[in-house]
Amino acid sequence: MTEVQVSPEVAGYTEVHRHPEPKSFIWKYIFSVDHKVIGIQYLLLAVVAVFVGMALSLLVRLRLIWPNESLPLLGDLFPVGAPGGVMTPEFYLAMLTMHGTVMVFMVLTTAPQGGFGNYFLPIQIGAADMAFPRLNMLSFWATFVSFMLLMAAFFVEGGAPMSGWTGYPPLSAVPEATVQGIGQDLWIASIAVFCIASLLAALNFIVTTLDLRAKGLTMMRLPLTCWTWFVTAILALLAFGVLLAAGVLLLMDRNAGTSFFVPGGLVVSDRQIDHSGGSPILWQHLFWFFGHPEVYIAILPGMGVTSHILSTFARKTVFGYKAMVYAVLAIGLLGFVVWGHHMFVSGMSPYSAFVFAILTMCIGVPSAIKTFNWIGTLWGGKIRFTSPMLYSIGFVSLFVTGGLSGIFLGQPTVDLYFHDTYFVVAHFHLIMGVAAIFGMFAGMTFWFPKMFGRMMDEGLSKIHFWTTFVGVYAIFGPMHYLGMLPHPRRYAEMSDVDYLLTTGAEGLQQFITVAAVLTILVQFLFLYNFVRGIFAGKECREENPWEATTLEWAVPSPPPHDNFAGKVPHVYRGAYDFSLQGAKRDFAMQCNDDKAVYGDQPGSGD
Amino acid sequence: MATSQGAATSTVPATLTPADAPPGIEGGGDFVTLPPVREGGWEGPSGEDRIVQRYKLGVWVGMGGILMFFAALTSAMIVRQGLSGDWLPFSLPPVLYVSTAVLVLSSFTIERARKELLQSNPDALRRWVNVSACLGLAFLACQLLGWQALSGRGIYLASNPASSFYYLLTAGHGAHLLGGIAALGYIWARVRGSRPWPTRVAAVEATALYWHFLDVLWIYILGLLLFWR
Amino acid sequence: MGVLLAIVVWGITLALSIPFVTQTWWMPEAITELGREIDGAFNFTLLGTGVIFLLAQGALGYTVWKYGRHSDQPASSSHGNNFLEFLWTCGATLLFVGLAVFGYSMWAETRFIEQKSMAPSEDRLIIEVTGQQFVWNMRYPGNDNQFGPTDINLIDDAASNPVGVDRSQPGGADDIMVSEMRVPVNADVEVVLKSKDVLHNFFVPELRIKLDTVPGLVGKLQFRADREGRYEIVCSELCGLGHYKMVSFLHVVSQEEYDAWIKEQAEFVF
Repeated sequence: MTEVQVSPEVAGYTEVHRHPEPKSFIWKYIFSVDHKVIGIQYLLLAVVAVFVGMALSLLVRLRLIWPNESLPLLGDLFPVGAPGGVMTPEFYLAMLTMHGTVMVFMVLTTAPQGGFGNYFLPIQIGAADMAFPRLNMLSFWATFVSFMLLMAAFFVEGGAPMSGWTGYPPLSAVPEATVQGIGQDLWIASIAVFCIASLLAALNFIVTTLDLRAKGLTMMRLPLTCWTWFVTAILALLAFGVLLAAGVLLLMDRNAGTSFFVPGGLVVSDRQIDHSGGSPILWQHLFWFFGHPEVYIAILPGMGVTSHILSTFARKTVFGYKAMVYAVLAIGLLGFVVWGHHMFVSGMSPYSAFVFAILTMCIGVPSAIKTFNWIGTLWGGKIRFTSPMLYSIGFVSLFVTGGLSGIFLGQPTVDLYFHDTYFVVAHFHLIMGVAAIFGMFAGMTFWFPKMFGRMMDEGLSKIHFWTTFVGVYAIFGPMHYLGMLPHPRRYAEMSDVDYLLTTGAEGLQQFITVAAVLTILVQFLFLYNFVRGIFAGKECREENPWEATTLEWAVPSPPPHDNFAGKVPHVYRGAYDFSLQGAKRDFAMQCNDDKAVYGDQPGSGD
Repeated sequence: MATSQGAATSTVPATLTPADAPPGIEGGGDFVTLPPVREGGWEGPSGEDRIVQRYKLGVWVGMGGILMFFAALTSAMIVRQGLSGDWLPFSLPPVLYVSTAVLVLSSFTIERARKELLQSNPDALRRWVNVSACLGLAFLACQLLGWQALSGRGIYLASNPASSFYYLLTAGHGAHLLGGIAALGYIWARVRGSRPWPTRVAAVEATALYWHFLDVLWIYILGLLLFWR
Repeated sequence: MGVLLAIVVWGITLALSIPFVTQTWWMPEAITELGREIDGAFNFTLLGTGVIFLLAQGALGYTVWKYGRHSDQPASSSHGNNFLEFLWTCGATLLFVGLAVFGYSMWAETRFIEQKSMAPSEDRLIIEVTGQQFVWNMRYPGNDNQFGPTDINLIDDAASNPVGVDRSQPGGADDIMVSEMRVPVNADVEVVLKSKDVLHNFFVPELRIKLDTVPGLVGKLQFRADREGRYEIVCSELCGLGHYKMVSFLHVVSQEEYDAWIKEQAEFVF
């Protein structure tokens, strides 16, 4: 065991016991219990998943503009789904369903929380590992199994499920209503395993945050990243159990002849279906009770990363730290009582719809507070335009745009027109898709030197930022206009709707597809930069290349096996002490005591 | 969220918790205890007590997730029953009362096991862990008998929403109890081993807490099945 | 870099906003009183969110411009401002919750109270709409103004009885089944929504209302169209592989034309 020196930044530390590093490859990199390895495993899984999801969206986009044209290669790749290279409508729906499922579960849920959270939560709070390392490993491998089950759905008879990522019964519950075979069952099984994995991970995150913080690290000194991972874990803990229950019921309806969600008296293609008394709306309630918090599971870590990075590169403390924390808590709390706004047109009681409308509008308030505070953080700063900073500013812009269209959809009367049109597609892609992914880009470029001891190429990252930022607006901006027409979503083609053919929908769709193809191409630049960075990036062994304040920047890059080499720093201050008056430098790390910050003069810090 | 600042944790005798025990070393990395000097931002006890606290906190948090699962099933049951006229109540198989008694009894034997551990009596600990696990298995056997009794009356999973929920709730609870039995098996196997086992108090405390939770959860489910027909 | 970022953010903001101002891609004109009220709510929301959108993106661009320049000034050490926090919390609450509260009466009219000046239910034209993969079935009560009973065993698409009307029962004999909806202009219409198989959604953009058709449940919509024309009914809930072609028409015609049409249809029954 090599002796690792304590960083000169650390003013005081506690000696803790070190445990030895596993030697063999399989225990070190495959079935590792080290949170850093597991974090990278999650990230790699998400990278694979995001490219799968993007490929699916590409097929969706191509089908929309060339519904009847034969496309090269497709006929050979998918002889059933695209005979002769022409995608069938059911193939379109299957691609769309899998795109949603892969992106929501395998990318937006895993990367921000399982990836960055796993890697940096323990280091930022001064812990050697998560509270339950083996449980952590189990969570990852269960997630992996879940991903494999989902991918398997492509290769079974009948192909991948086509009832949307929301899986509304009876379409998802009655096999006769689709051409589906076992694909839908694999989908449910995958979600169920994913639920269990997420529940275990959530438990681990919560206990870690509550129990493993370093000496002096009170809750109100936590970095905002940790706050958002913590609240996300609470949301996951309370939401995924409900989805698991709903999934089990749906699986029973499909395979065991029960009638939880399938009503009686169904006649599909002149054939009576043997079920009685179930309620399709019950599924919607259970699903969206999970589904709405899931939106915040995807976006909250992005908010945390953004707050963290904006403060770091504006060289300014977070504007209204406490307000930010309370806003995150309020979003978490309100996130559980607004699910009904997904169901304004479902036939749900109009009285409860009204209550949901009021609560939904309430959740706009903490979101607005966060936006104002981000701008407040930048205001008066000394901005350094590094690539993580650019992505974070992009996040704020996308969050504003995506959030404001929610104000339309949260009002039931206005939603009557926009529900299930491209306006909704634009809204949720901007806010939970693209904004969250910008959070991930920011996190990746920010923490890359810490994780790999090398830098991603700043120039390439910046090119990627500019093109992607413009690209996503070019994709999702025009979707608002499609929603105005209104173009209903999940239409395999528009040829059967007269008004779409006369109002310019076709031109908009073509524009969007071109923008999507270009934006997808640019993502390979990021992938190249990422892979190149790991193996051949500019070496960066500095502890703190960004001059940041939190504990992960007081350990070597990459951090040693148990993070602090047995010497856990004490914490003396809040997470964002930048530009303190009278300080020797323009930042004060959490592990710096007043003497280190101000020298021997009496300090003026709080 | 409840944090368990329970009184039990402070009574751990030092003799059972060698702070300088050699760390668990094998490839996969064992649970490793942090030594007692470690203090945290969270003002709690340190050392072995801290590990116990952490495991128990984990169980408390886990209960939140499990409760949401059963809460979802409960609300589905209430909604489903209120919706349509096809809900046919049936009388519960009497063997459920036997299984309830068995499970309540097992909570007492688990407590006994816990006490034996605290009095550093590994043989007795193992015995009572054994007894508890057997009672757990007996409970599951009774549940199976209950299913058999119902299917004997022609009431199957898909017969009726009432029976669907009966089978699902009992199966869901049984699956969680299997986890508890696995934990008891783990304790039993580790107590036999000669190597030091620094986290044993934590393992026993956490398992006991989980077991009591399953006990209460079962009584809730029984009440639901009895009174919400 | 700050200047460039500000210009890009502002450019995108303008590019996104302009089509909303010029109304290049826009809603078709509403044909009901309620629809025009909903348009009013939409326009008000558009104005409010539009202003916030421009202000927020404008401020973001301005900030990165102003504070992205090289300067010797250290960054400000402000930790926040409670007064400002209070101000924007209250402002956002008033605006957002206000929008929801003021939408109440309109929402009530679409769903659960009688619309203003709607005829009492016995004087309305009631049309039963049953969704089915991937067609819309419209049933008119016929001369007796009464829907006959249906029987699941009588359902037979080939024999043009898609909802299983029992022709042998009183009330059922003269029920009219059609695939496109026709209503007289300025008549009070009530649409009863049902589904045979999976979820569908009855949506006529010009009416500004939509509602899922849920198997096992009965939904209701009311409207009074005041402009003649041919309007499309599009399914707005994923219902399977033919979802995109589940399209029908609502014809709003003069009373005379309607009377002639319904008489003609009645002759086809049997």
